[in-house]
Amino acid sequence: MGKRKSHEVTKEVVDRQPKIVEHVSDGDDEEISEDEAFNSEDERMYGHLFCRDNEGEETDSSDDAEEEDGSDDGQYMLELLNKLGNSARSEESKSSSHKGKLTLDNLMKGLNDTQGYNELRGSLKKEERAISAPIDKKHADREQRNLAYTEQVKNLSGWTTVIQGNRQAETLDFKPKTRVEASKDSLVIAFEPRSEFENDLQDALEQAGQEDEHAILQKEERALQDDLGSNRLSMDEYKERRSQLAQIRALMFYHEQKRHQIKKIKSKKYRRIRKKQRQRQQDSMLEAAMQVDGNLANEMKQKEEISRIQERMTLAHKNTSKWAKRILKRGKNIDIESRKALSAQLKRGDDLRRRIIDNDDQNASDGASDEEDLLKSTQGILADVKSNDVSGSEMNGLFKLSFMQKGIQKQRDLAKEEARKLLTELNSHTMDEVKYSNADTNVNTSGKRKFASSLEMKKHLARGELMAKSREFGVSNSLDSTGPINVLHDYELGLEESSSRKGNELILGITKENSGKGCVDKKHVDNPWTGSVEYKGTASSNKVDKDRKSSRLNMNQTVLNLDAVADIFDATKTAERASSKTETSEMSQSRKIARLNQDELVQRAFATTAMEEVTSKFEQEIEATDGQKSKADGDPKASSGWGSWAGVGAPPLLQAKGDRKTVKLQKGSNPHGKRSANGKHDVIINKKRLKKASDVFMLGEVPHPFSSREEYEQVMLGGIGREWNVASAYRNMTRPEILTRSGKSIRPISKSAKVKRAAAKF
Amino acid sequence: MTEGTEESTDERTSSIARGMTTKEAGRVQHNLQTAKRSHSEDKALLSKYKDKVPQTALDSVAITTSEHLEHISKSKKLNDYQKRSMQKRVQYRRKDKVIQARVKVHKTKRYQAAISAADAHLILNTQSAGLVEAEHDMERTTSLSQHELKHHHLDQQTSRQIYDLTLPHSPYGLKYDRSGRYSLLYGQRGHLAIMDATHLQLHRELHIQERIRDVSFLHNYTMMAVAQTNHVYIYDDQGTEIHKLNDMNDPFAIDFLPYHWLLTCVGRSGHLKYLDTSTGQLVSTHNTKLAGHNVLRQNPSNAVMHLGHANGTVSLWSPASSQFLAKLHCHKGAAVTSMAIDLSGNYMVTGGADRQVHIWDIRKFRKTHSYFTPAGVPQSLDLSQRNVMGIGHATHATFWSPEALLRKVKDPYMHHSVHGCGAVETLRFRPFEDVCGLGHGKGVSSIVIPGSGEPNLDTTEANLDPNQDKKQRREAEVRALLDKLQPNMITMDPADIGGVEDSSPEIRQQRLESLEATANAKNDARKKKQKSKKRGRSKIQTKLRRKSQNIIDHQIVKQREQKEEVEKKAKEEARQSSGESKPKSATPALQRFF
Repeated sequence: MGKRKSHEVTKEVVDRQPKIVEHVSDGDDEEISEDEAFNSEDERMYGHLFCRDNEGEETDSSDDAEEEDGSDDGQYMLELLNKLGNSARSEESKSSSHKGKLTLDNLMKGLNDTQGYNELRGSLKKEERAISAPIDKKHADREQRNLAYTEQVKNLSGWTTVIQGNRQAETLDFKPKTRVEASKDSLVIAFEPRSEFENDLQDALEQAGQEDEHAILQKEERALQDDLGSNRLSMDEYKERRSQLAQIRALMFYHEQKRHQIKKIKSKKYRRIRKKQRQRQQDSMLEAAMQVDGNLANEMKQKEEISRIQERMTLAHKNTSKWAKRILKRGKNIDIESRKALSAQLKRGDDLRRRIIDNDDQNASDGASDEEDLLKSTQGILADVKSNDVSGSEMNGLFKLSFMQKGIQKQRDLAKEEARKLLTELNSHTMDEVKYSNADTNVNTSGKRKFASSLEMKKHLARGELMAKSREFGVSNSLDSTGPINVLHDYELGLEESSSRKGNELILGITKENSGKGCVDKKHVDNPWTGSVEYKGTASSNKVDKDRKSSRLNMNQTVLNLDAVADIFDATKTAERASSKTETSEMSQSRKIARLNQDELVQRAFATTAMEEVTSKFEQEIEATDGQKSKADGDPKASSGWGSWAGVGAPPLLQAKGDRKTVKLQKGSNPHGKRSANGKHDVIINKKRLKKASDVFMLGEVPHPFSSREEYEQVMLGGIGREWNVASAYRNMTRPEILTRSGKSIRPISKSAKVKRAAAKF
Repeated sequence: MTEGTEESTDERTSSIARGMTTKEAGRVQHNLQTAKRSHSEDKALLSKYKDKVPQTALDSVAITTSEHLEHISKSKKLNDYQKRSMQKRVQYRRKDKVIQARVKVHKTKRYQAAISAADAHLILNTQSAGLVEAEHDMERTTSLSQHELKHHHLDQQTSRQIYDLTLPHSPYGLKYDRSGRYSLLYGQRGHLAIMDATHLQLHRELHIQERIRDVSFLHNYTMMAVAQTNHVYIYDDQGTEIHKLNDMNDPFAIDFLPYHWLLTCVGRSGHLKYLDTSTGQLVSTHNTKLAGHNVLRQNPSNAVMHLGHANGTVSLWSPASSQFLAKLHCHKGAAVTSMAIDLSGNYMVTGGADRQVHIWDIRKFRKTHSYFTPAGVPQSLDLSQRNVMGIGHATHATFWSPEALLRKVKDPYMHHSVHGCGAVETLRFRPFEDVCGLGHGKGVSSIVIPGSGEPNLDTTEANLDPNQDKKQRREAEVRALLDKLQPNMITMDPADIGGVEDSSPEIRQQRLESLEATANAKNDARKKKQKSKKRGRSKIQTKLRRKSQNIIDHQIVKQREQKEEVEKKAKEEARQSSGESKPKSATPALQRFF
């Protein structure tokens, strides 16, 4: 009743506001009387009471822990109403006689002398507050529609499998699945006496001692049990069992009582504490589980991430929920509890989002400064750990306990290990940088330095290698200017930074090679690389020779060159690429290469290209000459410029009208285009289109659902008639799309309909 | 001599292995027209002979839209934009899920059908075929005479099939109906007889006071067409004249296409006429422009009529086209006297007045090999259901094993001569029996050629059951009428019917051109001698010298022998001097170790 009233109240308040034109609908008489009973004046005086009531309920529903305050109010109201009832009854005759209207004021008059009247009055007289307008109808409707839509979609999605199955099924079988089998037994069981004669007969049979199945079965069972004596119990057994049961019952009762007591506790603080306790317990359990199980940890992480994403997407914790909106609607009159809940929610949303932002920041930040910071911090951790090791005496209280110390120690070890790893990694990076920035001088030293941390390096090899690679590429550019080989230097200027990785690596390899050897002699006469390049330059063609004079080599050629050289590297490429090469390994590699003599190298590098070049050129020549000839031979219309519009985007050359009938064959398309050697045709095939056959019995295009000829032909493949198939196969191939049984109803579609098994696959 | 019991498994089993139904596979040997067969089967057949058939022909069959697009993009002059759009169309060609599923389902069904058909094959086809085989090298299957067969090797039922009928109105010819139950004997001087070949009973006999040039059963034995002096007449099995076909005048040869219900006739004027026997209308008339003597046979696989002309050519005809479909020059300077086409429609055998019998692969339009008939001109030719080739030349009938179609075989399979009976006018194999009928100058003789007929009956086919009763015959008649095919459906490739046309005339023409070109290309590439174009090689002087070098006379032979002897001696001496330690006892295999 209270709820209903409050509803009316809000309506009236709304009525008074200028914007809303909605008027209170007049329902039945009972409602009218109630309206009158609770008029506007009353509302002004007592309305908020009910409002508050309502609020309390709302918060209750939202927060489970705070049940007690709602129930408090309820109790109070009940008392109030009781009293009201009494007084109303006493005053009923009076009020009806002299005023005719029953208002709350009148009712309240009877309460003058009661104990809590003044308090009540005071509370009722609290100043009224403005209630913000409800959400726009349009929006509300939209929300409703959305909700309905989602609900409907959920409902309908259950049908997809069934519908899809039906759509994909070749034949839909609407025949009833179960045939009614009229066996003798089934008829006997289903028999019910209807006619008079049947009834008489039944009676007679019963009198003669016929019993139904169930009764007979029961009888048999009883007899069986009695025979075995299984349902007999000794007194002792009975007593023991009884005591056991009693014990259990007592325990259960005790437990129930306890639960009941705890449930009754109305202190919010207690609830809060309990809640936190529970949370902590859960967390600790989870953590423990996570430590044991890596998968779980991952899962949790993923869950967290998902929740973040969801938060970002839905903004569920940004007062967007219905509940939050409704509370916010009340403006500043929100009570503390709901306010707290709101703020907690907001905080949670903030938390979620903040974490994301932090992550993003971390991802975004990179570069040397961050790396340095990391380095410092890790070093700090290491140092800290060391210092902590020493200062064990500073602990106090709980931390003095042995297991706590052990735990701390363990954690510390872990941190230490992690820090050390990080440090080594960072160190290695810096070392790489150092190495490559001044390659000529530092090769040896860097090698040595690396050896120091090589053991640890191995652990992080995969990652470290990758880093090193990236460094490698970064540094190779700086070497360009300092590289001792000027020819290669030339090439490299030609190469763009974005050129293929292989090429880059190669250059690096070469430069490195020379950086090692360049110290000894800078003329690099015996260097196989430069030699090969020069050789190629002279051997390939005269043109290249000429070009060489201008000391510029064709860019393409160089790239080719480098590729070819890369092949030689192939055997030792991985070692080369790793870039954590020591001097010795480099030496061994150069020796390997040196083992191949000049000619071999040249052969390996250029043999294939040279052959291909020759053949392709030859072919091109033939083509070119052929083309010229054909152009010269053909009619002038065929040559370009005649009847054609040249230029970009020009349409293809159209055939002259007269030529269309005699379709010209493409040249070279027919391998046996020439006449036979003796110049005689033994076979003539009529090339005319069979109009009568093609127009009627052939398709001009691939029919609609098929996108290609193969598909169509595949579906059309094979005979389906009786002549080519066994009876079963014939039936299978010509089965109608829908099967029904005449005289039997078709059952409506159901979600639980069995999905037909797919046909066997081959 | 033993009868080979093994089934000749070449085509049948391989086709089963390929997923074709046995029925389909069996159909290849059966008397079936591929026009009725779904065209896909032929495609399967084609793919079977992929290496034999010119690639271009296959391409034409399987040319796809994507290929077509590519072809267009290559062949036509396109600008950049058009090229790009063409590429896109090729690239993003929609692959419809629904269609894919449909294709898959169909495929599955087809395979299942094939499996069940294979199972049924085991149950239904209990008989197996085989040929007579020689036990040792000295034995020849040709020497097996009919007398010997009849009295020593054959069971009583079969031996009854060996007989001679001496008839007055010679020379005689004969034809069988499609089931092989009835034979139609015709004396060229006006005698006509329907014989129950199984029971060796005369069914009906009639005398026409006219010259009979050719006869043919229509859809079953109850009706027959007779090419008489002036017109073609139709009689029923009681000898009643039903129709006189005025359109078909001066007929030389007639034939009946069972699936299209078409009676074909070629006459003196060289016009090929098609008459629908169910409606009685003349469907089409084609002028071959080659009058005179003509040979007419049908291709059982695609119902194309093959006409052999006096100028040595064979032309292929369909009612759908007023021009010939193809023309082959089979016999140079000699008339085509006889012709036969096998059931699969792959091979054609032509006999000419030049006494040559040519084997043609019609898929490729190429002559694969040829045989010579020593006795005389091959007047009649026939291929049995299992591709035994029978040639009637002069008084002889020579039979070749099925292998003779595939490659050149040295010896014939069997031989029979009708001495004192004149030339063998007609030679026909009886369907579903190992029997061959010969019509000659003194009547008709029937002989047994083991392994010539299909051993298993096909009961699914209308009018093919030799044991059918009256009711069955009537039902089959109706069924065959209902299944009648349109005359315009006759094309060279039955796959065309219901298929997608080549979208551009260029492609179609190209395909046919290339087919023609390959057919016309010289048979043996090795024969083509490469000219050596070195300088001075083509001088007349050097040519003569080279020629003289090749002449081998006795002097040169002597010189060569002397030279060889000297060389031999020198070798022996060298051997003796170098390694005396070589013991002579060592075997030649071990001698290299010394």
